[in-house]
Amino acid sequence: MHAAQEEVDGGCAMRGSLIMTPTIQTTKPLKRLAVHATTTCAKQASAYGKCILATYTDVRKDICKEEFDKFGRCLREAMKRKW
Amino acid sequence: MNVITSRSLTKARLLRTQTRGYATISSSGPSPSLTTHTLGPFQVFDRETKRKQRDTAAHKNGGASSRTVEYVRDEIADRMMERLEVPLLSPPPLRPFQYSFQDIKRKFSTIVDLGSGSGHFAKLLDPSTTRKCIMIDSSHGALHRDPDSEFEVEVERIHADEENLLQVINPNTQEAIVSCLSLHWVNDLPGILIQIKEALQPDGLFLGAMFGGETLFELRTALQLAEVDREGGISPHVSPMTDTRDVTNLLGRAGFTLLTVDIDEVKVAYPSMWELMDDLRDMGESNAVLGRRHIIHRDTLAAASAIYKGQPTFIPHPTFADIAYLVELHGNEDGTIPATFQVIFMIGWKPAPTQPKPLERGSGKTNLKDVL
Repeated sequence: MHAAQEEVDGGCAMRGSLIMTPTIQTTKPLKRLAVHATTTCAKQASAYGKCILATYTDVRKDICKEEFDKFGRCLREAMKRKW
Repeated sequence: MNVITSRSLTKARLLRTQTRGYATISSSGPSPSLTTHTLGPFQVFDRETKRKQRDTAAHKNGGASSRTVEYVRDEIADRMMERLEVPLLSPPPLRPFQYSFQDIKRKFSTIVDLGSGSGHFAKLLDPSTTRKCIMIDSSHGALHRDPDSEFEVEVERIHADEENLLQVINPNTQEAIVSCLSLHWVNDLPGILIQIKEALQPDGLFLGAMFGGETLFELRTALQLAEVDREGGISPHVSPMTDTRDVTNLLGRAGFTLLTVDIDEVKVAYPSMWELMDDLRDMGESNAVLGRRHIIHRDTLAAASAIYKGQPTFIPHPTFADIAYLVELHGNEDGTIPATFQVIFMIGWKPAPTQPKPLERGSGKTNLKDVL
């Protein structure tokens, strides 16, 4: 048995850059959430991600509540919606 | 007294069938192999939903969307093709059996492609080795997406459920059956392998590739961590995968001989989890596990996206557990995220009297001591 590793370019990098363009911002809410979660609120997202990874082996409910609250607030402001 | 007992029994039985119903009945109509009073083999996937998802994906933007996301299937079909050539063209040490020199020119009159999709494998077939390919798929949309002109060999399309192969193919009729990235949605894997063996002629070839092992483990763990932190529980979003080690046993149990099983890995880089999920949907590979949740809360999704991307943090004196999680951590250095697709390749032959068999135990005449 052998497991070969290979990087295949899925052509996704190009579509990723497409997503940054404002034309897509007017489409579906989920697309807008995706844009804000990865670009507008990237800083808060990264802080949250780091918090989860620091407690990776012992995750409980609301273990990173503080970090997520900041991330969530940023998302709600960016989306101009409440949920 | 007697009346009460029988009544309570009926009630108990009714209750049991109802609760069983919750466990097995699919959200969008019962699965065809399952009726209210019989329990089929273990049901994991909602086949009807899967068919709809694949139809929708194949029709989206006139097929353009599903063509953009064919990269994994095309890559695996290509690697499968290499494996089809090896058993036929290999020199004696690799396939030392009854195929001698003249069999190099062996030509298949038909090859059955089970779960063909839009024919990723069939398009690679060469008229010099194959006359015709029979494509079987449960998704009408995927099956008819591409016109015949894109295939070099003659193709026949059969719209049928992959789980019931023997309903469309007679036993002992096929020279070769292939299956490229379809078996991971089949509920009864041992059953379908037995059907494939039955459908083959003696000394017929089965060549398969299926997702398994650690496929999409990054997405699985990111969603699980996000759900635990945000909601305090987990639910299935990524299918349970067949373990690579089990496949050899399954093939052997189905009655194949001369087995070859190996694994291969394709890693694809995506800008973020959102593009990965979009592409999976366009591939028709959305979640179809029975009893799944139909929505993911947007907070959970956003959290999962952040976790998926999470960069490894610097740890001054890493312990073994730290290293394990650093290795497991997702997120590439250039800001993209990786998705792993692990594919199990399997080759098996239906037994035939002409195939070589191991000699009887104790029939050896040479003492190993003399050789070594």
